[in-house]
Amino acid sequence: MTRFSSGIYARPVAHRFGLFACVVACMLVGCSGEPKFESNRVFRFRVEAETDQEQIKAAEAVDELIANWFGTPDQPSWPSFDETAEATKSLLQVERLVRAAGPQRSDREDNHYGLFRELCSNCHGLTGDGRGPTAMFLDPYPRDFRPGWFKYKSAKRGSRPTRDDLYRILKQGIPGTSMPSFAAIESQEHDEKQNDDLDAVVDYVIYLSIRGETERLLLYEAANDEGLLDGVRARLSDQETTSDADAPQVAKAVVIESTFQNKAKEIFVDVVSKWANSKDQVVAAALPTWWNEPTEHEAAIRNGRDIYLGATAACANCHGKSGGGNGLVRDYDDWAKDGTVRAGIEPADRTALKPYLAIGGLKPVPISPRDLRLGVFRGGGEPADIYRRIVQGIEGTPMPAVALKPDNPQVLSEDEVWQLVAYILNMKSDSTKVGPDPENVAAKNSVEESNP
Amino acid sequence: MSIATTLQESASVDQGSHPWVKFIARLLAVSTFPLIWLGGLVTTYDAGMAVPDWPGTYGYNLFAYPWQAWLYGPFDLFVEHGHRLLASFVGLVAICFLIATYRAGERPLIRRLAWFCLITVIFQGILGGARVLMDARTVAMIHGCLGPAFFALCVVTVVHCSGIKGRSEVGVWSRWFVRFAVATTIVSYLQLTIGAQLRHILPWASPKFFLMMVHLHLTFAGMVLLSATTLAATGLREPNRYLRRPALILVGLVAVQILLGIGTWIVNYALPWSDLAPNLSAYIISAKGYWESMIITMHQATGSLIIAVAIMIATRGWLLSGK
Repeated sequence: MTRFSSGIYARPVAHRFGLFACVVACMLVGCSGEPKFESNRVFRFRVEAETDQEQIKAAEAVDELIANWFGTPDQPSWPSFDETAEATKSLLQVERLVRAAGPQRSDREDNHYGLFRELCSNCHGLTGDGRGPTAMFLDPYPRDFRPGWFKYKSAKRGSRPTRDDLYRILKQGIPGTSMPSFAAIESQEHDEKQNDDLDAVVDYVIYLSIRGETERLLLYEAANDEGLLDGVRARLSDQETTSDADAPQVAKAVVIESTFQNKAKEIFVDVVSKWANSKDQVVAAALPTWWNEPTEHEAAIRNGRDIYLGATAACANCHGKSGGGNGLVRDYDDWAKDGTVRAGIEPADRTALKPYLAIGGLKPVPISPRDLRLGVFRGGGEPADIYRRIVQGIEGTPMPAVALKPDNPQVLSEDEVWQLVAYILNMKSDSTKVGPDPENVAAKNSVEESNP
Repeated sequence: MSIATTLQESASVDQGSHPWVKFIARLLAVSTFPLIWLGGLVTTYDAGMAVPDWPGTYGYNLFAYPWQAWLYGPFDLFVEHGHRLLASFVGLVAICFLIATYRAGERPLIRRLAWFCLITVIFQGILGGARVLMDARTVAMIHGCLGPAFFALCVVTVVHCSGIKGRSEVGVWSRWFVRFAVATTIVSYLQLTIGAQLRHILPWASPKFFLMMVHLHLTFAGMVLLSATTLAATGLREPNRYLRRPALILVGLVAVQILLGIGTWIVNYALPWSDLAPNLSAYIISAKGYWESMIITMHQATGSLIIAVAIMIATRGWLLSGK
């Protein structure tokens, strides 16, 4: 035994302590790296399935450009173009992005920084991909902001939510889910200057969504148009950027040098416009004159029941005859379908799912129609909320939009939709008990047996 | 008669430590528990970075920071600065304890324990400072795990100072009782470290890692319940009330802890299976709400208490078995 080794074995306690210190040091070193946004591997998986070829070059080019334009979780940046200057002003304040980004801290004036990491990222993930550490346990899964689909909003289906829609969800939370209410964080700053912590979080969610949607669309274009990548420099990060003296530091004026960058700019401008125009897409939902007249309201509830059970609205197909949510339809939401059905994979096929799960996809879970008898509505329980749910559906889910007369004479009139709203809101008081809908349990079981 | 003489005379009697040493040891343990609670609140409210400098507070000496700015300032600052002040108090008590053990001419074991307490509390303070200066959640997690270990050390010290050997003529009926107590302590502490991983999870950790840690946490919860129940079952046959009573209290604490664990899950992530309780589907989690924060912090603090009670039983049993 050498002198060196005998020294070590002669001091087992010191040896163990040294080992422990090494482990602790490794842990500390391991956590000191700067966090990064993850690229959208699930969408790449889908695009590769659609184009039937690997998209390594396209994915690398997109990753470089997105990283260069949008920065990192600690140092976000916002590409500044003349075409988006006005839209950006109405949409977000780039200096608030800095407040919401980065590690969590606060100061003596109670200003909080790193808000997204403090409040959101454990579920929604650092990239806003809905794959935070806790995601697997949550039902429904946390929202992936990157496709730009948002369920609960006042704007039309296909458009983006307004800032107020996002703020409302943050403030009120979503009942029966893991999305909490952040009402305790709201401050007078919101009423006075639209500038409280939740406003900063709204900005950051919009930023992540625009970043993610630009990434998706650009990858799709790059994968389907090989010429687009011609002339793309090996390292886009070397490209020139100019600082805008009037804009905050986080805003970055980008020099466009290639067709690829030009396409990226087109996509970005289009995505930003969609967000900026969402206010113009808000669906009007004024209560009908009979709403507060008891006799007419009673009649409307009766009519609403017929509409609910009728073939035109076909509500009972999913929600069940008594509204228990036990209809015959079994389906998945668009987030689950994105990397499965659209990549040619059956979500219930465990073997086929393996490559999807291996790249970080969350196991698809069938979406359940709401039990309307509970009187709890995730997107808001006001009559206007229910009205909008019916006429616009719920984006990203199988809940369809109902076309209105006179656009389509075969369907419902606006007044009939309000009658349906009256009936749905009356279901809670009408139901004597809550639980499985016996009318539909047997039927549902038979469907599940055929869909293991 | 000087205090030093009184201390030395009292220590010569084999009835445990001098009353002052006992008192300071107890004060150390009793003031550590609220410190753990306050540290838990710091984590619950994400207030760890409410004061960016260390060891001072916003450029002031820790003790010179204006009390009005502390009490009437932001809640995060109140909690974090309060945690530091209480930690300083505990450090001061640890110093007093060490001095008292020398002045009273305590046994070498008690002196060693006093040194160990002081070194641990200093190291814990440095860890707390490193957490702030490095802004590292992993260090916060280590800091959070060392706190309960220090609390357990204080409890061991209190038991050693108490002179339990002299007070009880009845020994230990079963040697397995002590072994079960040690096993419960170890399993409880491992459970706490897993809980700390969940609590300080990094936002870029993978969902699979979190899933694994949750399953591990649930498995260890079962092990803690099993070992505590076994300990209590064995404890019922123990003739010594110094062992029997805390063993039963431990099972009660574990039961409360399981309920708090379920509560912690619900106030963090809602009901896991909302279909099972449709009437509760209207529940909206209130982020940083009062009850939500209290339940989460209570769960963390009760974990420390379980470890402390388990190690107290183990130490008492060990001493009563003639060691």
